[in-house]
Amino acid sequence: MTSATPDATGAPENDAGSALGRWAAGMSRRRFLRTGSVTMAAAAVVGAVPGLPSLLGEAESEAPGSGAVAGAASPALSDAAGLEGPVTAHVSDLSGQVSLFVQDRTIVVRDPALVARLLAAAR
Amino acid sequence: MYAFVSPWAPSTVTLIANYIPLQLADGGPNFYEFGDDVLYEIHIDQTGDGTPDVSFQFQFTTTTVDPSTFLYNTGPITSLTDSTWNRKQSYTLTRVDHASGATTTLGSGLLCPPCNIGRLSTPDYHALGAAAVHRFSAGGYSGQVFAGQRQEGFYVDLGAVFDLGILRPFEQDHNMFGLKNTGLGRMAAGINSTHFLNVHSLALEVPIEQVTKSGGRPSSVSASDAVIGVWTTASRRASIVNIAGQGKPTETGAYVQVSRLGNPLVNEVLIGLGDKDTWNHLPPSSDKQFLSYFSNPGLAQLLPTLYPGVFPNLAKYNAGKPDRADLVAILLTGLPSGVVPGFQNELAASGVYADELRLNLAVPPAKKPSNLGLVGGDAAGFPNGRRVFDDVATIELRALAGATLPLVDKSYKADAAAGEVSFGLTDGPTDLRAKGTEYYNDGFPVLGMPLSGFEVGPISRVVGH
Repeated sequence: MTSATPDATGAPENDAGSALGRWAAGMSRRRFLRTGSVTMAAAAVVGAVPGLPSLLGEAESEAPGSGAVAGAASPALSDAAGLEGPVTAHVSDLSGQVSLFVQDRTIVVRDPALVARLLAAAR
Repeated sequence: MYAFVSPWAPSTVTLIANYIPLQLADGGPNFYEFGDDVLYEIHIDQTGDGTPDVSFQFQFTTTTVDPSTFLYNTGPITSLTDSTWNRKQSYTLTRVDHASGATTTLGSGLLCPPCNIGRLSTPDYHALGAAAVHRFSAGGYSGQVFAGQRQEGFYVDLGAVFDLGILRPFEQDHNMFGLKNTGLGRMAAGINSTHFLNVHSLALEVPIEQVTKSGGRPSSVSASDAVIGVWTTASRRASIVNIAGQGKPTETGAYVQVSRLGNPLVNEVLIGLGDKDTWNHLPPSSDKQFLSYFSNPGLAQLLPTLYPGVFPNLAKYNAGKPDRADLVAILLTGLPSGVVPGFQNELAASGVYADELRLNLAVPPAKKPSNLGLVGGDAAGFPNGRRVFDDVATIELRALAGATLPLVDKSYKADAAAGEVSFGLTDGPTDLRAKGTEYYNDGFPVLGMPLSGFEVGPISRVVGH
């Protein structure tokens, strides 16, 4: 696990691993904020709330009632079978936190690796 | 937002939150309706902490009977279940008690009335409106509720006040910004901007003991459970995503508040443009950060400039260090005992400033109401709650002009004009119909039958026609 070094613009330290570290090296917090936050909507994909943490791999869930599952095996899409409705993910900064909007609930999850993957996909 | 002890049933309180204002009655074919994607709420604060203790939630479901037609109705609508009404709307009313987390469904499948279309489409609108008043009894709670179109009851001269603050009855005193040949400069009656317009109304009548902290009826004006704070909010889903070709947005996540209203005109006239969105997203408990808008409001500063020489005492006061404790008390904390003999509606936890419509439930309905409410000697009216006929625009204008400042600053002498300034929309304090331009019911749901689109076309709104 590598640690990204805070840059002069105040980007926070994180333990996101190399993916986020490489990404962060190319995008300062200031640049990120200037660019805007990233929201991704997926139609009828991952997760209803009860199973969501396990689908998030190394997520450290901060949502009430959804326990952390650090070290869990990477989920497969088939794990989401039976889950209804779209899930919208919102990443607002480099803290490694992602807000997930599903049905009528909002779940805040801290998962730097997931955030790194989302941001990398959004480049 | 309105809140008052019901004159027709003084053991109850009536709460009304209006949405979708300034409706033209003939605004079809997509006539006005509540949003299925909006959570509408009326909140009650019992402790003064600026957060709700009880909330009444309205959530709507709209059904299109025949999606293939553009028509709102395919024939005369003679009942709320008539198949000819193509855009039926119903709702669920839920009570939330925040301390316990208990939610009680007070009613579901409650039917709204249609909009008042015209003589052919809604031939007996009175009957449709009456059928949309629902009595409920559930979980130990009871009352009656209405949700639907009504005739607007708030009266104000928007055209005048937002034309650089020129009030028609006082045009001759306005500075005119140096403009010549404006055609202004003579005294004139106000024009009611909402005349001939409709609004959508959420109206609720419940026994007083169902909204008090004690669960009983307050024994006196000074009782600890006598005052409640009321406001309304609208919330939308946290995420709204529009995807090309999808036809409608994807809405997910918890509801997030996007607007609120407690005291009239606070959002519109006091809060600065740059702060309005933030203010609307926050609960009343956060209002301390907006305190300067109340303690030194912009309009109070403007009045002596707009009307040179008319408000000399206010101008002098403004030039010092304005600290309008009167406005802060009226709008953010309630009036404490001792300010107005025999009256108080203070509801504020220590250090909390919260824009709420405060209502002392122990004050009975007035036998001879004044549309000037408390400043007119009628403690049953604004700012002790708000009744539909209260001339809140004039009351707040007079307060901003300094009329209420002597209540908290005995050394201040209000300008004579502060007690006279008016929008000119009534014939005096006992005029409860705004020169006949407003129509109210004597009972629930209070606001009058909405104007019909056939009868009211745009031409009738032109002044003089």
